[in-house]
Amino acid sequence: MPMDDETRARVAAARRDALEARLTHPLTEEQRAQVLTRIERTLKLAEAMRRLPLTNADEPEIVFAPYRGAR
Amino acid sequence: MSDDLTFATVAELGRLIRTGAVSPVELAERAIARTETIGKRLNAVVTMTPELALAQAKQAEDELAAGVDRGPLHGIPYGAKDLLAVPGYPTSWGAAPFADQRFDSEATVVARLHEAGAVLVAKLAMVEIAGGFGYEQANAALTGPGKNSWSEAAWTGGSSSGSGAAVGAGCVPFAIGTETWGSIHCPSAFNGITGLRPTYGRVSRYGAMALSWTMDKIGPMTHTVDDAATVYGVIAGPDPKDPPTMHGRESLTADPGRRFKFGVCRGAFENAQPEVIANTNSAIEVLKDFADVEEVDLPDLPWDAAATTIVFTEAAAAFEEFILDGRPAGLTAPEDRAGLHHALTIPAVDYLRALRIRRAGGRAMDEAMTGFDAFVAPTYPHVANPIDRPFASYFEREQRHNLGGVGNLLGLPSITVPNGFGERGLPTGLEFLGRAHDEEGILAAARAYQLRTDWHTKHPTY
Repeated sequence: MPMDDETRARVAAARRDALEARLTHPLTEEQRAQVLTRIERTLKLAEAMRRLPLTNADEPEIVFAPYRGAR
Repeated sequence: MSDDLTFATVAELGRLIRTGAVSPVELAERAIARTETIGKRLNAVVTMTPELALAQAKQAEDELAAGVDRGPLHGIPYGAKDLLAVPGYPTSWGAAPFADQRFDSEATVVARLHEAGAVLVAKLAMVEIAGGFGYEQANAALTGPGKNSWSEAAWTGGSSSGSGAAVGAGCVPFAIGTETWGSIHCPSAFNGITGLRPTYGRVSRYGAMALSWTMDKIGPMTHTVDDAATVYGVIAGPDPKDPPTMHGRESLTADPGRRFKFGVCRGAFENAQPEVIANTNSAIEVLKDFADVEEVDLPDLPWDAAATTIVFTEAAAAFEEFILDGRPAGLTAPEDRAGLHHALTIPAVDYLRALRIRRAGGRAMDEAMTGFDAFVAPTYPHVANPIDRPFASYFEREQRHNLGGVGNLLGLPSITVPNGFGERGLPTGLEFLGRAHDEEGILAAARAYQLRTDWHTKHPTY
């Protein structure tokens, strides 16, 4: 279900907080705003993707081939 | 400064070399001189490689004189996008933090071109880290804003900026570019040249910077479709150093005698500039001479959302340490310095959702394309933007509908060819998008178009 604007803003802020906890160099205020905007965009992309219904049978396009060497 | 050799094709130069009208050394010297002057003026060059070029050219000359002929690229100068590793020279990825980076190993594409006798003249400029940090204007490379070969007031496009300008300006007859999403097609269309983006996994990525492991492709940028086919034939093929190349299907063989069938994606250019629409419609009339043309709609899937999610996530993973260490602070474009941080917060379920859409979409799109030789659309809905303006102020991203999202998400091959001129006298491009592994089909289609038009023979004057 798509988020309303307020929820999206809270999720985006939380994600940014989690990110900043990992950074060794702090972001400027302008950069923090930019990061927040881009996080909000990724949230909208996630919503856009979820408009396509998928079932449990819809697998990702990944081919995992367990490796075995020649010997 | 230009003469008959300046914009000669690979095929033409090959004939001239073999008749003795020009030598590989002379061609190398000409290419070095023009790249050193005009190429640098266009901010198309990171590093010149004159020592290597002259040595390779001399070797080519000696070999050909001794009857050793390595094929159509023997003695032909070229440029390589500066994310391809060449021992002995820096490989900067277009980014100041990596300006002095060097690799001991040679990219497979470069090695194959070397084996074929091609002559490397320069490492060419690119948007920093192939645009993965989200640049929003043209000054996003350590070499400065890339200038268009038709007008220095226009952007050359990206991220294979220098490759587009160097070929467009006649510095070299071909260059190697790469595309994650748009980076061959954009500079090719904007500079009025031909660009081939092969099926994902057709050309080895070994020795090339990785931006997005499942979306990075390497391809030729040339004056003609024939030249693109020639270069592609040399660089493509299995490489144990790049596992995806080991699992591909044999390239399909086009039937030269039959009539083609194209699907025109009207939805891809409903918001395009008027001249782009006019040029596309004119091109469609040319296509009708040798093809049945039918309007088609793309399957309705969130192509761009899935493609964007994959690029963001994979790029963030590829550059995770670089981001967390604060090194993006050294990037040229201010918006790049915190441009990819957000992608570190994308959850795995979103990335996997995008991969699930890729799988479902791949089957839906192949079904939709069955029976067609290609889907056709403007390569870009607009000409090159003014170099001094943010991209969004010239053409809104949201209006930029083309086949880039679906084509790159699904790893489909595509070729762009020039098809006229538009606003401010700048080139426009036409794209032929093929089914997976149908490089031969789209090359044949684009070749048939170029046989009936002369846009690929138009060049800027210097």
